[in-house]
Amino acid sequence: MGLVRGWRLCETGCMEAHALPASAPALPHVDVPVWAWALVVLAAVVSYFVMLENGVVLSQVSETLHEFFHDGRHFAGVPCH
Amino acid sequence: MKRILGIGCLAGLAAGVAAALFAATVGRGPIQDALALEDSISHATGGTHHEDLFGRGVQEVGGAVGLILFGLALGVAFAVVLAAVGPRLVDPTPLPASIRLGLCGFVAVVLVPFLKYPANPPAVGDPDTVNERTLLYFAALGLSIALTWAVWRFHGGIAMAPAVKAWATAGLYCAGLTVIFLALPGNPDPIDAPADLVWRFRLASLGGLTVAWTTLALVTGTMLSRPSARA
Repeated sequence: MGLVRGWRLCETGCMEAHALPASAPALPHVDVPVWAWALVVLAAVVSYFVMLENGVVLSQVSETLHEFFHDGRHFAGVPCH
Repeated sequence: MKRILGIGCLAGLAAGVAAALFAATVGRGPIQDALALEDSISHATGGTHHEDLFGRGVQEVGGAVGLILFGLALGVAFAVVLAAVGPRLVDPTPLPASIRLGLCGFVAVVLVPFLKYPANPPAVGDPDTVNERTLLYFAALGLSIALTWAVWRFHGGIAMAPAVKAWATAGLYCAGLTVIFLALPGNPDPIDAPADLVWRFRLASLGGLTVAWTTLALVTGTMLSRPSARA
């Protein structure tokens, strides 16, 4: 059980740190399975097609993708034509 | 693992929706102004206006769909990294760990690439250099993430007095940033649009991404804090 630091006024008016019982237990140590990292790669690939594809990988379809997601791309700050 | 991934998906969707709402309200004005400018330039130069594949309405919806998909992908990645890194943070309880990771992630993934290659509105950008600019943007993003990871490994793997280590870590990060900023070339495109318009757009873009990352970190941390039936 972890502790959350908090602050309260003590009687002399100063601030003192005190410990509150944590409402939530610490994140458990887990061995992140390989499939979870594979999902991260998949997420990166999806992001690439949504945000960055300009015709390097898909030449024809990419223009359609590009124009459809156009506003989102600009807004997310990735390079655009 | 499945629980944290599920939460990451939900938080990512929420972040994407928040970004899309921000884009639809704050970001809409600068984008419309930039498109109007783009049109007036192509009329003035007598150039044939290229036929738009989609109307504005479709592009606004598509932009929102893109941001939500992007948020979902971000949420999944955030959850996996939080599961791997969270237990080793100073305060490994879910909300503080999630906020710390969110802050580091925002600086590494959004702020540093933004400072090197700031977002540009529709009127700016030469189609002929888009692949070069994409590559440069990727390089800035990749180097920024690699630097953050290297500094984190340095901090975790070296024995020093805490104060010395804090200064050494901060110094290493600043030195790394300086090298990245000097090594990468500038944006090859000229920026002809008025600075006022360009910066209104840039700040809207940065604001939207800040909203997205804040939502992502807070929703993930809060949902993980709730007791679960399955441990």
